[in-house]
Amino acid sequence: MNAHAIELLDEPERTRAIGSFDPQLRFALDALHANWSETVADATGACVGCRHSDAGVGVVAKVVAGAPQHRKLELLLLGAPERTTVACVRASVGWIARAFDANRLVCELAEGDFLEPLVASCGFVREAIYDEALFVDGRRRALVVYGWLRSDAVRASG
Amino acid sequence: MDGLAGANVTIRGLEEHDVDALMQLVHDDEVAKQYYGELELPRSRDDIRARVLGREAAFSRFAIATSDHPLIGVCGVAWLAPPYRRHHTCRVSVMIGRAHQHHGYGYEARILLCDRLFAQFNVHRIIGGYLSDNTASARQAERTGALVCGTLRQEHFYDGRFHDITAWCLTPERFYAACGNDLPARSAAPA
Repeated sequence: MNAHAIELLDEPERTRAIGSFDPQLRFALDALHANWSETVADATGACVGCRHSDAGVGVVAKVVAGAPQHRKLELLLLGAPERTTVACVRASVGWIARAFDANRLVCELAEGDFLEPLVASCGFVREAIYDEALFVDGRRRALVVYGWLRSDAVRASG
Repeated sequence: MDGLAGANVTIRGLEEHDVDALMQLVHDDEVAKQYYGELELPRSRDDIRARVLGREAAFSRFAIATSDHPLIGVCGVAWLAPPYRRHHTCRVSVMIGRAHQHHGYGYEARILLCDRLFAQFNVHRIIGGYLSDNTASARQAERTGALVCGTLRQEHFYDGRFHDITAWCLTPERFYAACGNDLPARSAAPA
């Protein structure tokens, strides 16, 4: 999955640079759906990745579901452990939150996933734990739901 | 097999003739809110028909019927994240029309569906949620053995504000301990 996402973002014809929020990172947006536009309703399929200028993609955040009236987006996060930093995650999910004016972002991770501490450092809160709901790498693991709210971010920024 | 038959309700596939009754159900905002469903903008009969008869890999919808009424509500099974069945985990939803509430039909439909999933489809976990301020849903979840496992903050919006959802998880052991006696005699807890 990680390799696939990285390949995806490395295809120049499917990727267009949209600028940089951090001098260390370069951002790319891949509109996987032909009718993509900058509204929550059509956000599904939007994919944002960030990469260090010399080290390849760190993390890719893809919108897998959106609920327009709830202003909620569900994200699939894919990352290369050796290259993903808190800054990568913060930049990618932050871009999505801003671009689609989301009130709430959700990402579901398997318990123990290397991304857990990273999303927690970006303001995501562990909201629910479904014990043994996943089957990953030959064993059952908990499904952990992480939620981010715009109001949390506003409070944190003072 | 004609469907899953309980003492009072039957769960069966949705058919073309269900479209009119389903239109009434999905356009009743109070029912949708109560069951943590999506509020709809007005939809045409063709929209509803396409939804009823459409097929999705991740989601199945069924009609809930009684001996007197061909459709009193709907229920559904959504498999967790692709590849959908690998995790043996799914979400179950039940919605009963306003005129048929408070008769225990929703509870019966839920346990019939859960029994089918645990005993015949080897499901390991059933997960779901209800509006955190809906005490009736909380009681029903507890009655089926569901275990509360968190709160999804501001997950749902209606009536001008966001609402929290209480997340729950159900294991076969807890389900059969709580509901085994309410299931039809032919059903038995898996060994």
